[in-house]
Amino acid sequence: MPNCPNHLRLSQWALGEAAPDEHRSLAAHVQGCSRCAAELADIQHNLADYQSHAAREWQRLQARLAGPTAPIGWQRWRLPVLSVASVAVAASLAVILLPNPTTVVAPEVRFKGAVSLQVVAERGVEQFEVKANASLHAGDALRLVLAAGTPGQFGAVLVDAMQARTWLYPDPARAPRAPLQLSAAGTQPLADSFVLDASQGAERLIWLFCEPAVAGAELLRALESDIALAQFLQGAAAEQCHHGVLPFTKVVP
Amino acid sequence: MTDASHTVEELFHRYAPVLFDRCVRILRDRADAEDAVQETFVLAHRHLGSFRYGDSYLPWLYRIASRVCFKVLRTRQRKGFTLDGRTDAAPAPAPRPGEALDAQRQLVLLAQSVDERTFQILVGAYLDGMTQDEIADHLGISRRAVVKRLTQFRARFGVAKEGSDA
Ligand SMILES: [Zn+2]
Repeated sequence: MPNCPNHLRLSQWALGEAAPDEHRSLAAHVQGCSRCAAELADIQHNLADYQSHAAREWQRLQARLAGPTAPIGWQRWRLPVLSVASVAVAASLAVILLPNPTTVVAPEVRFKGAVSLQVVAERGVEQFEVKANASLHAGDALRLVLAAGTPGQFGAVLVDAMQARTWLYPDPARAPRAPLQLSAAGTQPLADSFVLDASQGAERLIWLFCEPAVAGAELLRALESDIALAQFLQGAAAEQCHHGVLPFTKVVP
Repeated sequence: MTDASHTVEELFHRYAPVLFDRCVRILRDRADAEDAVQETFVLAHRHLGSFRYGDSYLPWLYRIASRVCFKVLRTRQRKGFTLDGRTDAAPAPAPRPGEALDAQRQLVLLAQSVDERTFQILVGAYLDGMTQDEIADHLGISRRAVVKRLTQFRARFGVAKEGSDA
């Protein structure tokens, strides 16, 4: 039928935002047009569906808006879960962060206690591994893939050029505050990706993985400053932990 | 709602459901659409100070939501959608009878090969049923630019004109 209102106009009308004369003409049109009537029914179905859990979605949004996201240069972005094939591709990339800087462990080599973290960047449709001292662009999305030979707990922070820290894991917007728990050994992509903003300069991603016996609070404290990490690594708990540092530079392409 | 003094909370409660509908139409996945609505409001929150539209917030939020959906569709390439039309994973649900049948499917497949502006034009033309004038008005570009991109798109992918019933 010609002169069907577009979807935006129909949506505005469904919200009661149409002007009175437009309201009358749209009402008349929808009455006589089965296609628009069906489209309107679709809209109303989706509105009702969302409204049934809008309160929960608002809470989720509030938590995100309260998190230390934009000012520091990272934005948490929950992307669709990686498919099995993508994980296989990611896992086949070389290890870039190592439990011990002098030891190279290929991700296929699994033995008890081995832990490695891989950082995969997505730029447009490209996906590539982030190597040490890489140049990254605003808009690049990073995701972390952890390979661990044991269950354990994990934390990671980003330290920018001004030495400001942003927690990547655990998500600072979530309570209670505890390291990310990994209940099984194996290679797994971690939930959430992080989209780079346009600030520039040298940054570091620092991570720490500990076996379950280590206190979670101690793990988190170690990531609060470089001094705290150095002290932690000299203590007894460090024998049950692995850590890594990935330096990179953010540039405007 | 016309003035720029509204809070994100007010905007969320008024417009999130309709943006959810918008994202479901593009993404054909309700969980992805919920996430896209969240992301739309994170971006809206950040840019609320630059809101300049005198009529309604909805067209502005619509454009943000389209940009977010564009990003999500692009990530789906890894889920098995390929440009030659072959799918390794479950395809998007079939469109309702009577809808422009190419629209949903080709948006998923082609989001990966067109730029964001062209994508917004395609969504306007094929999914939202906008005229070329309405698209130009909605996106704040010239009608000539709309025509040019649609023509290039059809020539490149051999797509029927929008609005022609299958
Ligand atoms: Zn109609």
